[in-house]
Amino acid sequence: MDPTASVLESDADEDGTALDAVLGAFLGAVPEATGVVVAGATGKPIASRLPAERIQLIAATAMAKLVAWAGEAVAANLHLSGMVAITIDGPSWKVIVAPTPSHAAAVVVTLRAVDESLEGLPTM
Amino acid sequence: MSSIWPSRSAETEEEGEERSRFPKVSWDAPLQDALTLFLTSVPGVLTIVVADRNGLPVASVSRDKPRADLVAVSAMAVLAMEAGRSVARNLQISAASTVTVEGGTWKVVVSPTPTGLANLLVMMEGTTNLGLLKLTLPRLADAVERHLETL
Repeated sequence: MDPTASVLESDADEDGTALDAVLGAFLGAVPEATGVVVAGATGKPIASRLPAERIQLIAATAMAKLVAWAGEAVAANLHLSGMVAITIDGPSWKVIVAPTPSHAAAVVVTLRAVDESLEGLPTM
Repeated sequence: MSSIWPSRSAETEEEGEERSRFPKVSWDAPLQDALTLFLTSVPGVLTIVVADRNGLPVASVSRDKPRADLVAVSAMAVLAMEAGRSVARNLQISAASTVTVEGGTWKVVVSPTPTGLANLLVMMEGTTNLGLLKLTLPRLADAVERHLETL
């Protein structure tokens, strides 16, 4: 993921909607965030703001919903309540999958490494 | 701190009758030792499970008597790890190294061993030294893989 990518693209039909404005405001407020997608109950993307790269958006959101479902199943089987998010870590990036309060949708946020000094250390 | 309870493997639970015909596996002790060392050296860690690539639990240790169905937990955790890898692949970013399920006061970290032979599940509650966990988890993953490769 290119953290300097300035070109953002969103679903063509979502331009100008309130949800699109919320995503834009979120990206403006969180400098580390490089993109954000809202996945519906079925895993399909509802709105997105991601760097213009060759991503498989529908597959990514479907898998993100599966991550959220599996995370909730892990918590339920451990008798832990109140799951708030699942974080997928890479060498220099993070993807956070957070279900909405009603669990009707999930927000997927891509972030670059916050603390550059930690790069090179094992990630988790 | 409560006593440490090593759990039986899934194989033992599911195929106990069949297994009783074979001698007890000798790798179990060193693997349990490595898990116990990790459990005692990282504050806040409650349970560690080693799951194979199919999501079946191979070994586990817990500070308290396990209160969960570890077969279901490890299966779902490995599914979360695989789905996390797929998210990264579809976003055209490099390979995912861990998946962390987070609640208000708890975390469950899922991390594969270096070659993907197995996955480690670490359950934490309360205050956890995440920096120490970051440094120690790869060492545990190496040790687990070494033990499993001897099978």
